Formats: sequence, structure tokens, C-alpha cells
Amino acid sequence: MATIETNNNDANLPETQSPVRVELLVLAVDLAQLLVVGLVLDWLLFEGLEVLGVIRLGIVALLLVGMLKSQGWLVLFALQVSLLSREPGRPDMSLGLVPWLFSLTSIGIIAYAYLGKPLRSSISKWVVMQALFAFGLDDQSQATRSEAQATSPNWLQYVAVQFVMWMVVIFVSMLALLRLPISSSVRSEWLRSAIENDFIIWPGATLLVLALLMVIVFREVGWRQMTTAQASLYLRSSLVLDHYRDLRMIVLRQIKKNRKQTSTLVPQKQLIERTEVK
Amino acid sequence: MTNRARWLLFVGLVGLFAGILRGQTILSLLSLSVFVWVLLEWFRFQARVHFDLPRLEFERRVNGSTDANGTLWVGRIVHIELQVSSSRAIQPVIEFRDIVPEILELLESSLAPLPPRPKPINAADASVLQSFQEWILRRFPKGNALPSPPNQWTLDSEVSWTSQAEDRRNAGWFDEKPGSAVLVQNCSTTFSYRVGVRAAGQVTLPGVRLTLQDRYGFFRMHRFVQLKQKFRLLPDYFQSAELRPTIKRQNSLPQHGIHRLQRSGTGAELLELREYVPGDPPKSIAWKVSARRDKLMTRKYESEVPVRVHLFIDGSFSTRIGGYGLRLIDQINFVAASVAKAAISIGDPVSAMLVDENSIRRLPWSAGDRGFLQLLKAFAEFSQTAPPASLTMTPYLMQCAVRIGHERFPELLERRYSSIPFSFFTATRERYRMAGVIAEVFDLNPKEHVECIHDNTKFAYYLHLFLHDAGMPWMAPMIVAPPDPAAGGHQRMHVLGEAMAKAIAHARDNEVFVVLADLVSCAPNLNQLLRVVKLALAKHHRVAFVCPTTTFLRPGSEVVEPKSGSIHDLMVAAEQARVRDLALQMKRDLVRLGVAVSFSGEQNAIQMIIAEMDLARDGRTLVQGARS
Repeated sequence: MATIETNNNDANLPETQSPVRVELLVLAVDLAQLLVVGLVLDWLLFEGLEVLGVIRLGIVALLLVGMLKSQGWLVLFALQVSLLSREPGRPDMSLGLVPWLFSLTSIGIIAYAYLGKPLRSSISKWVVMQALFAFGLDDQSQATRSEAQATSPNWLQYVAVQFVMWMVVIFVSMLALLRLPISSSVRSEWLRSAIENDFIIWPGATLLVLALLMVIVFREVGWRQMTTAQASLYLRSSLVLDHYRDLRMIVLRQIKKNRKQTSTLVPQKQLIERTEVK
Repeated sequence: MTNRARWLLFVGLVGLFAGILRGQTILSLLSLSVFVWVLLEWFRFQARVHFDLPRLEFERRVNGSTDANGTLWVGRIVHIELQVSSSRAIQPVIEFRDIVPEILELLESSLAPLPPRPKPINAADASVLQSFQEWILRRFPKGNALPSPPNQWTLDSEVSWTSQAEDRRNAGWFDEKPGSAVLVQNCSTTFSYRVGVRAAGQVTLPGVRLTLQDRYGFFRMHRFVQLKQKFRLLPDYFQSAELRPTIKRQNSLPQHGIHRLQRSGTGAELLELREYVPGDPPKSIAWKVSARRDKLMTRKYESEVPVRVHLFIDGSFSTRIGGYGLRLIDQINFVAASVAKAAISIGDPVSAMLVDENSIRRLPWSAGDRGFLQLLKAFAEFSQTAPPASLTMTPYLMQCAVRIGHERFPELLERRYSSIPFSFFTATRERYRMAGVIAEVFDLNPKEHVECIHDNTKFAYYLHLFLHDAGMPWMAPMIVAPPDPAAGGHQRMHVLGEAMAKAIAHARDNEVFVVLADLVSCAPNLNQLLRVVKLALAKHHRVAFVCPTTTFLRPGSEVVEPKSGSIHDLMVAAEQARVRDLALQMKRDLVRLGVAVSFSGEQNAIQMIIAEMDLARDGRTLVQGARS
């Protein structure tokens, strides 16, 4: 059975609040969201640093403008520069709650920047709707109101799922940092275990196998998406590329010959005369 | 992968290296997390491509019909509905674009009025989605209009030849654009738009181009789904009661079941009496009535013999150049169809000779609605001829072909599937890829494939075919340079004269020959045709010439003044002056022979021809007093 969901049927919708007023409310919530994000960014960037207020404000404003234009990499870049300048180097790479929380918040902000206006407006509209319900500023029936209040918006579910995913992502990254011989302590541990086991002296082989495995998985997944036309094109172009030199030689010779024939055309009369002379 | 993802990965990579080198934990963790996040998103995107795309189904209804073939009429509005359905929820951001060839003009694109919406059947999230969106809609009504898509995109400032109907939907939960549609579980939605038909010929609606993208915009993929529907486009015709009198004063009641031809002619039955006008045959003067009224009166008789109309349709090179709807052949088709309709509606049979530079095709005599339809089909077929392949390779030709390639074969232009020889230059690499697409589309062998890479002539030939199949009119870059108007005039006049001579040889007395041709461009060679025209007149046939001109070159009697002193305006004025002189000279020559001439492809030309048909029916010699 087909379910059709459209939102072009607003001709019969009850008008309880003037659209201008609601738009203003949404705009206000939009600004509030940006303000919160700006504060979080300020905390992430300048925590523990003594920077002039104007400069902080300028940098955060610049990043917010970048976020409005879905330039999430700017946020990442700013965070990295900030960390580069203020984070103390630790050879042991000890990981705890603070790095985990910092990374989670940072990725959340970057994702917010990339999701952009749709997410922002959805949140704003939902907040405005809830506020209207809470203050009783609309004339909907009680049943509808309670139903709407009971249902959580879809974006909330989505954000929750994403947060769980980001947690997993950061966990995997932490694991990688702890297990791979990046820090000096892990490197020494690898070396010690290699000597004790007398098996390998460096984890290069393991890394190579891992890298190869990933490449194979990536390529395999990519090739599985190929359409028939793409497969045909791939075969065709690969064949041409394999024999390209020979084919090019044949074709260029043929073109040259054709040009020569075209340029050395002689009038019919001269041709006859030449034949007679012979 | 999009640039957005590339930038993010690049910044993350730099940060990761810096963090590892300096032993900064948070920096390393953050950078590596970004890497893993993008990787995970890639897997999710690939999974969606793998599982969601094959489930998508498309169905297009053109005027309510899903048939693969059909007929459309020029000048009439066509309603097209595209139904997209899927057996499962479509969560990614997805864009559908139904490709509309240039011969169709996009008039309006909107969400179709849909039937009452059924309740969602199962999924709780679906009901949440609905209620949430309903509330949003109630709160934020903004009208039904879609965000207006770019109806036409132009390749440069001179020519716009590809139009596209675009129904863009972000089918995610956060899309709340007015008029948007959301596909939920077991869902389908319909997008509709209206198009107008610009010119007679044929059109193929090729299919739907869809773009799949993840929510963050890290990955994007284009696919083209074939959904071919082919239509014959029949020319429009003028239908008005004013063209011909319909009131007949009958002198006697006919017997039951007998329907006389309600036209004046040379029959025995009196149709009406009217005042004498110069040109009426003396034998038709009603002397008694004239004596009674003290002024000359003429008897009009019913027509017993239908007047046969010969149409000579010029389909030469110059009549086909230009955008659809603006070509000379479009005007010729309109006049020919209107004349044929006017003649056939009163029982006069119509025949046509389709003439181009090299060939003559004679259509049999047609009568009745079926015959009229056959004529229109022949006109439509005649209008749809492949252009002469220009073998000149130009950058603009390449640019257009690449655009069309991206539009119709996006998956073939993906870099990873096309192995090309190494080159430093972007243009060369683009040519290699395009040659691969051409080889795939036209199923070329490896040698021909390499010829396309190195032989400009061969490549230009295939690119022309490629653009022609995409429905491009005879404009740049299909036509590299406008032809010399006088070139080929001798041959055209020869073929046209030959066609007229053939028609005269097979004609009976008192027939009407209508020549619809671009005579202005070959006015110096008119003498060739005049000999045949004299022969036709000598055999008591009526001859009418219709020479349509493009709007900007319509010859007028007044002196053409340039709009400004710019070179362009001066050249336009000079061209108009040249055409005006040619047209006036030609008109003098033809009118001197007693031939009717019209330099327009509009209603005036149709009325002139119908007046000529009436004259042929009456047996009179002058146009004055013609009942039109």
C-alpha cells in the first residue's frame, strides 16, 4: 500500500498565529542555537588560553559564518590549531574522559555545521511548536495537543542515533591510538613483545595486512556498485589502454595517409595527360 | 566523494600527523575520529546505494498514458506526471530530474494534486513523521509553489537549447520546503509538470536522472534511469470559422441523405446572388435581377467538383536552421496544416510534395479526417530529419557534448570506470573520457575508439550524432557557421521546379498549387521556377507562394533604420534591407504573372490561399470579391 506524505495541502490549515510572528520566533530560536554553538566553540577553542575578547569574538563569529555556509572543515581546522598551540605533548598518549568528551563535542559541532539550515530550522520549529503548546497560544484541541506533545520529533531520534555512532567512532579511534605503535610507549611495548615472542621485530607486517585488507574491502564494495554500462566501459577502456600505442600508431598513420591523399589531388586533365605520356 | 569530504579529510590528515609528531593526544584523537567518521559514512552511503536504489521504480504518465509511443500536438499543453515509488523508506537526500528535450517547453512544475492521503500502515516513525510535518505545515504555510528550478540552462549567452524539468526533493526528515514530499515506508509520490510542444517532429523522453547524496554532503552519486517514451509531434493548424463563409442560402431542400458541397462553384444549383465585382465571368451575371435592381448582380452556383490542392513543402537546409518553433519549416508546417484542414473539411482533396535539396517525395491525395492525419504525420516525419553531419570539431561542440554526457550518462563519466591514457591537460583528459562514452553509446570497436581520440573529423561526426539523439535543433554547435543564403539556390529551384512540373503533368484543370518555400534566400534563381509557374497558369491552375521569414528578417515596405550605431545593429539593418529588396523584387516578378504571394507564415497567408481556392472554384480571375 502506498503511503503518500506531502506538505502542499496547507489550504485548509487553521491559522492561529500570524505567520510573521511565528517566523520571528523561529528566527529568534535560530539565533539562540547559534549563540549556544558559539559559546561551545569558544569553550572548545579558548579554554585555558588568555586571548583578547575581541579576537575571540571575531574568530567565533568567523567560524559561525563558516558554519552557516556549511564549511565544517573550518571548525576542525580552528580546533586543531587551538589544540596545537595549547595541548601539552605527552609521549605516552594517555586517553581519558576529557579527550573523549572533547572529540565528541567537536564532531557534533562539525556535523551540525554540515547539516546546516535544515537541521537548524527543524530544531527551531520544533522548539517554537512546543513553546506554543506549553503556553497555550494555539486553539488546537486538547487531544491533538497531547498527541503532538507525546510524539518526539524524528530529528531527535536521528541526533540520538548519530551520537551513539560518534561515540563508537571515537572509541574505535581511541582503540587505534592505543593499539597502533604511534606513541613511544606503545612502540616500546610492541618492541618488547616482539623480542619476547621472537616472532617479528616490528608490526609492519600486521599493518600491511590490515592496510591490504582495507583496500580490498574498499575496492570490492566500490566494484559491487558498478552498473552494466560502467562495467562495459571499464572493459572497453582498459582494452584500449592496453593496446593504446599500437592503435594510436595505426590511426595516426591512417590519418596521415588520408591527409596526403587529400592534399595531392590532381586535376583530371593532368591525370589523363600523365597517363598518355606513360 | 565531494570536495566537502576531501577538505575535511585533508585537514584531518594534517592534524593527525601534527598530533602524532608532537604527541598531542586530543589532537590525534579528534583528527583520527574525523577519519573514522567519514569512513563510516562512506560505508553507510554504499549500503544505501546498494539496497535502496534497486528498489526505486519510476512511472511516467504523459496525458494520463504510460504507453511507450504516442502522439502530441504542437501548441497544446501536455501534462506529465512522474511517479516514484519504493518498497522501503528512502532516507537519503535524493534528487530526481526528468529530462525534457528542447523541443518541449517547460511551462510549469508543481506537485501533483494528490488523492486523499491514506493513513500510514505500520511504522511508528512514519506516523511521527506525518504528525510532525503536519504541524510544521500548519504553523508555517508558505503556499504550494515549488522552489522554482532552473527551467532552462544555457550553454552560453547565444543559445539555449536544453530544457529540463526538475523536481527536487530532499526526502529526509528535516526537509520542510513547501511542496516537498516525503517517501515513507511502502511509499510513492508523484511529481507533475506541464510542457508545451514547440515544433512538429518527434520527441523521446529519455528517462530520469537521479542524484543520491548523504546527509552531510560527503558523498554523491548520479545515475540515469532509462524510461523512454517516444512521441510523434503533429503540427498545429489554424481553425476558425472566419476563414470561410459558412452561411448558405439554399434554394431547394435536398433529399434525405444527400449532402451537397456547401461552397460556391461552377455547378448547376444556384447558391446565392450578390453584387457584381470585377473579375466575375459575364455568363454568371443575372440579367433580370440586375435590370430590376438597376445594378449588376452575379449568380453564385454551388460547387460540384472539388478543388484539388497541391502543397509544395520546402524542407531545404535554410528552412530547418534555428530553435524549435522559430524555424521556417515550423511556419510552413502551420500554414500547410491549416490549408489542408480548410480544404479537407469541405471535401477538397489535398496532396503534398515534400521537397529538399536532393529529393522529392509525393504524398497521395488525402481526404477526410484520416487523410488529414496521414498528412500531418508525413509533415511531422519530414520535419524530423537528421542534420548534415558537420565534420568540424569545435570547443563549443565538445562543451555541449560533455554537458549532455553529464546529463544523460553520468555514471559513464565517473573517473574510476574510464581508463584513459595519461595527459597533463584537462581538456585532453576530458576528450579521452568523452571518447570512451561515445564508444560505449555507439558500440565502437577499439580502433574506432582511438580514432575518436585522434581524428577530429571522426569525433565531430559522432558528437553530432550524439547531440542529435539528444534532441538538439539545428543550431550552434550542430551547425558550425550559417550557410550562404545564395548557396544551393540553383539546385533548390531546380528541384522545386521539377516537383511542380511533375504535379502539373498529373493535374487536371483548375487546381491550386501552393508553394511553401524559402524563396527569399534564392531569389536570384527565381527565373528557373517562373517557367514552371507560367506553365501552371497557362493550364488554368491557381498558384500561390508563401515565403515565411524569420521574425527578425520580416521584409517591410518601410526603410530599415538601424537602432543604433553599433556594428550588430548596422549589420541587422543591412540584412533586413537586403531581404526587403529581394522580397519586393520577387513579389513584383510573381504578381506580374498573376500569382498570389505572401511573405508571412501566419493567418494572412492561410486566408490568401483559401481565397485562391475560392477563385479556382468560382472560375473567376481576380481576387476582388473573394469571399474571405
